Amino acid sequence: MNAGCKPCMDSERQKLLQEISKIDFVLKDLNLYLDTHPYDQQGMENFRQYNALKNKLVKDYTEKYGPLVLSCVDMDIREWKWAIQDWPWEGGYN
Amino acid sequence: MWNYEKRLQYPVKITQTNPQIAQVIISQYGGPDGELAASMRYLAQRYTMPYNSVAGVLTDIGTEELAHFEMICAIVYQLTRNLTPEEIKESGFDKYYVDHTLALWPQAAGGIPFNACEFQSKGDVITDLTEDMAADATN
Amino acid sequence: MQEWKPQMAYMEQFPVAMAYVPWQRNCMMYENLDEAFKTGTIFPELNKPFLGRRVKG
Repeated sequence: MNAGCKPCMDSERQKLLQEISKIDFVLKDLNLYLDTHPYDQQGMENFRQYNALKNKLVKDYTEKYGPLVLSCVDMDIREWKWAIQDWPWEGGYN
Repeated sequence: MWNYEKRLQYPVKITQTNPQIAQVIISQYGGPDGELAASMRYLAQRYTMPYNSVAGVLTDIGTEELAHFEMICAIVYQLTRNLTPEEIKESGFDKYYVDHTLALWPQAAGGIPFNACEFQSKGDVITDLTEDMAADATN
Repeated sequence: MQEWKPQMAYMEQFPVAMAYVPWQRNCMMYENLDEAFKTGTIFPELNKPFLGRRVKG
């Protein structure tokens, strides 16, 4: 019987997701910094660049593997992947 | 208002179940210094902050803490996935299991259910930020 | 009664019985984002590891 997490079969998928998590983490920290330093031009430029990168990576991931956000759902009308694909707490690709 | 990204902020891949440690880790979900309390604390305090910057920080950190308790839940879920009845009894996890089976329910390790007494939101900026530091420094 | 004088120069700006948290001023980021991700912050200045025991003295 399977205990613990679901195994992850596709290392390319895992790598892309890790990259997204890493870039999103930078964005989150910059977001918090800018909240208290709202006139920091360099900070805002950094945010803009990483945001563009994240959007591109998310679009890539969505096309190859399925949606990460509802605003970027690939319109595959055969199935509503958002709900039926594995959820992140299962451990496979999270 | 809130959106959801279908991924964990950091990956959680636990291959070996361990109900003993799950009983302790659950405090990081529903306990007084846990992530759910943290999220509710910041999201409650933000309304009466006299500076937009601070309302911004509290909103954004409160939102991030939701992602944190999601990770804690994933940890507890994987630590207790598909346990046998023997494993449940031996580990003492039966006390939680009888009321919740393998579901996630926010409580402290000692059994106290998550409740709003685990945080404070007083409307004075220094008081509220001091509450935030006290909680975040001890979790 | 002897008049109490502040020991340090900046004490006049910082009255007693108040809590202070200085603003972050140094916004240098880690160059290696993998290291930042593992550390849990993109700012080296904010990397303050928990040592896991009480500090004596």
